[in-house]
Amino acid sequence: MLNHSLGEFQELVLLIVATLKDEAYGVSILKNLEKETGKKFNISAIHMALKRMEEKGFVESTFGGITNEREGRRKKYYVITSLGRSVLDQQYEIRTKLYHKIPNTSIN
Amino acid sequence: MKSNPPRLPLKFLRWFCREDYLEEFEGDLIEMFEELHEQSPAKARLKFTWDVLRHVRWKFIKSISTKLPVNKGAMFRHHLLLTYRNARRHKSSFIINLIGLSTGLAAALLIYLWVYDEVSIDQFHGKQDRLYQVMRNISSQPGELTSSEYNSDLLAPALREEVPEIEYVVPVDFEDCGGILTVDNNNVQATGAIAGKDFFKVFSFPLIRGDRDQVLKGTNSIVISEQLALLFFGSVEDAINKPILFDQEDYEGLYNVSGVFSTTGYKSSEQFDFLITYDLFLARRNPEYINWGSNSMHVYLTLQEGTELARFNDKIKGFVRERFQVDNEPQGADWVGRLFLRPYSRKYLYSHYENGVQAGGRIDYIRLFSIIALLILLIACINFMNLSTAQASRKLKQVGIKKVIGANRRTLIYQHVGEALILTFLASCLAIILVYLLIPGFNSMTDKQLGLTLEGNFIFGVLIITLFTGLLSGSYPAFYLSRFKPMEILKGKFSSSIGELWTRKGLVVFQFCISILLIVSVSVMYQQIDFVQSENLGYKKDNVIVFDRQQKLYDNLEVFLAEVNNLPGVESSSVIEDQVTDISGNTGVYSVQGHTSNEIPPRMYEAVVGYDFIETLSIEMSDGRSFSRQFSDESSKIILNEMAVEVLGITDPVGTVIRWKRQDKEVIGVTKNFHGQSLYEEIKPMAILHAPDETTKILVRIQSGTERATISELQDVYNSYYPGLPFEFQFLDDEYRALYVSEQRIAMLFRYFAGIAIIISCLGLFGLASFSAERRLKEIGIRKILGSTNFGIVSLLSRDFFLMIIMANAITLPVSYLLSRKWLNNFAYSIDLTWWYFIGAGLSALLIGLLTVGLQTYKAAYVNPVKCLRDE
Repeated sequence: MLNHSLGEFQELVLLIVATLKDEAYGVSILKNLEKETGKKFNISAIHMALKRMEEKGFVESTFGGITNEREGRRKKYYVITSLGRSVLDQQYEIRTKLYHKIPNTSIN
Repeated sequence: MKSNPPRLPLKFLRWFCREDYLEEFEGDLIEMFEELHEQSPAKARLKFTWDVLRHVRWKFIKSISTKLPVNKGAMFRHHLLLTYRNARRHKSSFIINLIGLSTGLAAALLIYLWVYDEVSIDQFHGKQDRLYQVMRNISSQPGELTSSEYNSDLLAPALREEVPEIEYVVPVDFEDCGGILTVDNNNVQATGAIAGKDFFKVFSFPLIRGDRDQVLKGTNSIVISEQLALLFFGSVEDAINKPILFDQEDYEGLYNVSGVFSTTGYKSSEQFDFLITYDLFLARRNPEYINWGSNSMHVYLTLQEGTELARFNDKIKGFVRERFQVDNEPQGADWVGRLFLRPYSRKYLYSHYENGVQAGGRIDYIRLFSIIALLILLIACINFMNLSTAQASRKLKQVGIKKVIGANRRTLIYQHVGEALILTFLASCLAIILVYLLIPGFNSMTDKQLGLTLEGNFIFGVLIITLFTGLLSGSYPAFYLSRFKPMEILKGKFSSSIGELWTRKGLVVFQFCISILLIVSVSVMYQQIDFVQSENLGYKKDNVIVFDRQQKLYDNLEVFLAEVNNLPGVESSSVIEDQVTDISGNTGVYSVQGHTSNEIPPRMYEAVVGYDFIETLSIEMSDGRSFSRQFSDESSKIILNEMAVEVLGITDPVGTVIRWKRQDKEVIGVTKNFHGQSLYEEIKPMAILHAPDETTKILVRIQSGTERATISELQDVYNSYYPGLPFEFQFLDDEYRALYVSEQRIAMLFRYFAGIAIIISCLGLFGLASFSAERRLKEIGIRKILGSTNFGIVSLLSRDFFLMIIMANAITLPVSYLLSRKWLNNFAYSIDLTWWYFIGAGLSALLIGLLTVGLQTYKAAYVNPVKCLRDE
């Protein structure tokens, strides 16, 4: 079976890809990620995460058309696959389950 | 504002990043760069660079294995097919390339075989790295060192006793020991050597019968070669302990065969048919001569393992000098000299010493011919390069289409290098056939027994040479052709740049430089050899025969010479100790009686002769008389040459008494100067002494025209002493010619290689000329219509080539002058270099070149303009 593990950073990127829907490519993912988390990231880290997840089958990619932007280089758009989606769901389930199991012993 | 991302990081990214990720990454980086650039260009650049660097990750790096899979077999077949098609379509250039490459390769292969044979001589000894010869640096003249191979009789035993670093030491004399071996009336003339008892422990000559420790002990033993054993006794086993009669002046006697050695399976510079013992040598030697001042023996030794050579040399430097008693000769201590070791493996190739320092030898010829082989290969490669690049236009469409379909530069380079390799491989097959046909001739020219056997080293050599040639000739066209941009090619915008044209022209000039250099060398060498042969030597070398004086002729010399002189065809006869062409065996210190100057008395060369020597060689006398039978006590007389008179500083030489080795000698005559040595040497002061008993060779002057009859009569006289033995003799002029045999060989080889170089260069020129004529066919047609003459067109097409050869002349002639000068400086007597050697060589190259080009262009000029202009 393929490797279904999903690291924390990869999970964040996958979530962004899912939220951006058809508009997810390297730079837009980076910007949204930085906006949501309030942290700085390097673009190479995004690229690395995307390529890893593509190998695992969580995302799929297609080239966009040639435009005048980016000196003619095409953008590569990423979309989440159903496998990616179910992995996200699983993660979410585990987390919420565990979260609810936290004993209510807070200091008021 | 248009903003460009920094070039260097971008280039770097493109270099390392895998192709399928590149566009995405580049796009993202550029987008971010452009955005940031609006605010701060400097910051944007910095960030871009940083981001590129951050992309250097294992996963993103291009790897060789992630290349598109290529079907290697199919590609190879494709290359073969293309080569085949190209060859069929352009037959003339294919054939030119094939002929050029195969002759070049054949020449290189022959030289390779020769060089390989030369360097493998004397390399078979098991103790190679510890095997040395003891040499001696003697100061013969003040400030001048001569290196001698000969050492004292006492040296080897003393070294064995006293120097613990030595494992084995053996005295050997490879010369002066030839003679006639006899078993049951079976006579064989054989060459022998005298060797100490450890001979077979120091050297690795294979002893196939007998005990290594015992075979060379005692005065009665003889070790013979396998051939001699088979000849005399029918088998190697039967030879042991059989008696052999040896007939020679010093070592006459009956010997017992103690061992048999093999003469096959190794290459040795020293050749001998039998060995007799050092014990015998000492037993027969006049005890007076066994001292530290004698020099009769080569001494070879093996050192203990781990002995440091430099330290050892230091230790034995003064070994002989300490033991030598300064006796009658004032400079004795100087000429005893200092000892040093020479590795035996270097003896053959590095034999020449100048002033005590190693200075070349045969290795010079090896280097020279290796360079020539390389140059000839280079010329052949240049042909291929020039033809392929000149004809690039034919291949351009192919290259363009291939590039469009997706071939990258590397595949194209592989294709063209592959094509060159295939062609070279074909050429090397042809070359091997050529070598096979040429090798008998080459062997007789170089006096070798080279064979074309499919041994490992030969195949290895062929492979290396072929690969080298193929890669060299294929590389330039491959890089040149693969560089074109497909767009330009397919749009037809191709034009060759000035630089390429110059490369091509430069290569042609280079080819002709080498050819001209070789032509000049050949003509200078032949002139010098001619000069050497025809130079007046001061004696007449024609019609004189020389033969060895063997034992029975020692006992009966006067009777024998009287019988010889009685023959009708004999003009005169005499005897001499050395070879007439190389009187250098003995030197002595002479002084004039009564002269008591403080000057060091001169050392002179000595010719030891019998009666009628001057007459037999027709040496001119300038004063006095020669040795004659009419006078008694000639041994107390001396004849000098003019040089000797000059050196001694005497005005009225005849009658002067000269002191030599505690004896007084009266000068009875003076000869004109004559060359007693090769023309490499100046004429030396020479003393001619009368001592027939010490001579070893007999000279007979024969009336010209009666040679055949007289020689057969001489044979009869000889056979009355030695029944049944062939009469072996040499003509003096042959002996003289033999002094220059290596020069002659080299001149001859040079002639052939120069010929090959010229032929290959002209082939290339022919190809280029025919190609340029073909390309300019339309131009020629139009010119003819407009009234140009045939001659005009020929000169138009030939002008470029003419200029190239002129340029090659201008470059080469001064260089060749200097090289010729240097070579001629080896001779004490040489030709004067006149301008016409050089102009002649230059003109002949020009003529040959123009003839080649002219033939092609003439054909082109005679074309009917209608034919070449009709279709467009």
